[in-house]
Amino acid sequence: MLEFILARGNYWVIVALMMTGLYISFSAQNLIKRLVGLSVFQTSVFLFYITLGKVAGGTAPILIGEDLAGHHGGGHGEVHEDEAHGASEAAHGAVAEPHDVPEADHAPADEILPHDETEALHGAGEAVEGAPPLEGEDASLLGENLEDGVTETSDYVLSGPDLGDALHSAESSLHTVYSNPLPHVLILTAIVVGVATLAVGLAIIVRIREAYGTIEADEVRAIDIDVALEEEAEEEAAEAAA
Amino acid sequence: MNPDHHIILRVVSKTLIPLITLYAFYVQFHGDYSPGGGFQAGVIFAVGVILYALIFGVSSALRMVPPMFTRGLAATGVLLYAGVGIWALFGGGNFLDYSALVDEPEGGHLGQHIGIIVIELGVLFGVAGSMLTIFYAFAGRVAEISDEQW
Amino acid sequence: MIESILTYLAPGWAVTHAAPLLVVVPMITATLLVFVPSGRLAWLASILASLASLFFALVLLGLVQADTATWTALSTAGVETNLTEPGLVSYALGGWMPPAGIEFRVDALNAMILLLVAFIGVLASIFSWPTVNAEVRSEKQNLFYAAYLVCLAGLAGVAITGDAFNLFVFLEISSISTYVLVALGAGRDRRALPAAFNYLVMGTIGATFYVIGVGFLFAATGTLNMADYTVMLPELAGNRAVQAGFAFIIIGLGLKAAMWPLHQWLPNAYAYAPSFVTTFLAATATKVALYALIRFLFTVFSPAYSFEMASFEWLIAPLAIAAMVACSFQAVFQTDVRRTLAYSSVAQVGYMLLGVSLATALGVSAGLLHLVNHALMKGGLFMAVAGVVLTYQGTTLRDFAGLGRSAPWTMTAFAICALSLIGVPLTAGFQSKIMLLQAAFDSGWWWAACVIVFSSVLAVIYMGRILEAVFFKAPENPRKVRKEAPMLLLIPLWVMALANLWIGLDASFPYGLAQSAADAVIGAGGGQ
Repeated sequence: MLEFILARGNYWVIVALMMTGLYISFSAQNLIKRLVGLSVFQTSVFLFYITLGKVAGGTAPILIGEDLAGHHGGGHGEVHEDEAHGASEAAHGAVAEPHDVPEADHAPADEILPHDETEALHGAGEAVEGAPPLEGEDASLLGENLEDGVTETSDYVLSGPDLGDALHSAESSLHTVYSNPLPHVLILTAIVVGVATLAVGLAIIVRIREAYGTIEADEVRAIDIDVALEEEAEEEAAEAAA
Repeated sequence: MNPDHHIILRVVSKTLIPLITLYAFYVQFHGDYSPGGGFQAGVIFAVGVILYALIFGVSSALRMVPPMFTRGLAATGVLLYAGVGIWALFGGGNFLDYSALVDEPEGGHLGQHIGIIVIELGVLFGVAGSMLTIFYAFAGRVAEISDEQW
Repeated sequence: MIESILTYLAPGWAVTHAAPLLVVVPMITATLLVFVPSGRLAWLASILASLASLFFALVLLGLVQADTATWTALSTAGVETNLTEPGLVSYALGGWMPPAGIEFRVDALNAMILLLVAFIGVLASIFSWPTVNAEVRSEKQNLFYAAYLVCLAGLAGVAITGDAFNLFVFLEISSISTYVLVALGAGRDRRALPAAFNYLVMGTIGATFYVIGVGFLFAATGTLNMADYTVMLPELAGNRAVQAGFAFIIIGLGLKAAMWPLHQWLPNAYAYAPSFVTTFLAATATKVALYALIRFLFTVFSPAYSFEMASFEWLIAPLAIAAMVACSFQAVFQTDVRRTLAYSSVAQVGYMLLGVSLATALGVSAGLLHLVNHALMKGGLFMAVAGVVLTYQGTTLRDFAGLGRSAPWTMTAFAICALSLIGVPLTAGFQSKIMLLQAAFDSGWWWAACVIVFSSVLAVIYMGRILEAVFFKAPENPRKVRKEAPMLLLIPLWVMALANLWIGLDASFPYGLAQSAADAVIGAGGGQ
């Protein structure tokens, strides 16, 4: 039981943060506190993705040591589009593998917990290694970071069809275990989105304070109601006069 | 502001700001083949200007880097990024296909190198510009809030 | 007709790269607008960018509908069409092949939504100038149009992408610019600010829920490509991570689509945003979110999964009906015309969801037809209200009294769209409601049919109140002289009104689109 709880430490933290954030953003009357709650909520999702990408014993997805040297030596074979396709499908298959035989009493957390399923996921984590540059085209314009992890090994600068090679060589010749970089990339994009949301939210709060002189949601509501009632009364008075 | 005020801060930041800016470019140009890149570099660069604004006042920062410029910088960044995509179209590739950027023999990587450098530059401009625009939008907008208002 | 665009009008590069250009052209134009000093120039640029999007949307529709003759004509001309199979355009961004790379994937359903968004975008941007000039400060006008174009690009991106995470990015691109646009209504009414803030909080929670859901799916399958999900998810149907992901995604997208009871952000946001923004959003934003919902319900999760295993008709159908009844009642009691229309929008979302929840080809195509029709009628109604705001500065029922005499052209178009909303024969609303009724009876849901009729009666009441004030009450305010909305506003308004009448007389074009769209999604997952 204790082991069950401890093995999922990350997920408990994520759930706690998520609930705290949601509760703050619903219950706080202060608009800035609401935004803070929202940020906490979003941050928990970032942690969730990062946890998903963690491979037990894996280091940051930047090629190091022997892998780096090995890749410099590695040649670029011919270009086979089908191969690229096949390889990436294989990568996907590898990740899905552990779940193909879900046990009836498997806890949900278990099924998304890469730590326990190192063997199957190792292959997956490594195979997906080649994937990041793909996501780099992300329209967010800021999904750049992932290129860092990849371009590091200059041979990793791939043209599309080279992908097959990369995936193959990544699968076959890596010496170190790396975490899956894809979730990191996704979360970098999500962080940028979060920053933009936060900036717009704060800007609106500044304007609310200028317009209402307060940043408490209930006071703003009370002011709105008062104004609406006054207008109503004025119009009725005008009608009565006419 | 009294010029003698915060003299240590002023002296220290005067030496720090060039270093920060230099470091931004270090991160930028190493982002091509190692950890780093336009996003981090853009933030670091913006931090240099923001530090300047915090120490020497927003008004002098506004003189140095006017808001029109930061806005234009952000837009230029996006244009650079999208421009690479369009350029690839002219090269006969798909949108953002770096290998179509230059005419090179099969298996060459020049297009990839050019593509990533220009894209990273676009990201640097975009991030630095928008960070500074956000900062200016808040800094100096409202008069100081007095104690009883809190 | 549309094929001729492909073969004669569009150059080869436009056919090949229509998918990315549809999104990129408004995006690039938006950044260029930052350098444009004048609002009027920005307005012209936004019209041009919207027109370009419309053109690319037509090209994509032509590609999706292309028959073998067109196909061979294109391939002999040496044009790369990116058609991987008939009726499916798949464009690999950056040359990275899906499923590893991001893919823009257009089938009959996307093509229809893209056409709708771009069409409304063109009309809305043409009509925008008088209202924007009146409601937005002149030095901000170019940025206002930039935000609008970013929003357009984001909405088109949501509708076009075949990558689940990319959809989130585009969803947030469109949403964040929407928050800004709504908040700009503060120049006219400061209540736009709290409305925009609430919209931001709710919208961000919805988007974050969606990301959590995608995270679960990614954990279970290791892919983000929607077509991959279609293949892999049926085998994982019993997986609890997939089930949790399903729930998160449906709630997240439901929030963006204003699915009852997640619609609380909508009435205030629509009521206080600048008139142009309300028009554009009412006709596109919730529609695109609804598209994403349909895409996930039918393509990503197969209908068998979402409707039988997760008993979905017992969740979506009751919510749809609750929306149709509750929000129609709320609409009846509003005194502000824009709020009436906003609540009515939520009720109409209920109609569409009801059609979707039937999960039959007829039901989904009825829902989609209503989606198109509702965009046309709500767009028209809000345009007419924008005209009134512009000339008379008021949106309460009292302000509308007697306008039938002082602004007959505006108000006649308003009346046509209002009748269409009620569902009077010979209007667009009638066609889609009849189809919905038929779909409900076919599935044996007679109680749903009763609710459709009942909700339409409520629509008669709330629209009737406005029409009565407009046409049968004397103007209470003698200051109101005879004053029509400007020509620039009347033309798009009448295009909308006539489109309502045209669909009412001959619904074959939108009906054909909706039917092939429904076939595309039902066929995709209906195999199992």
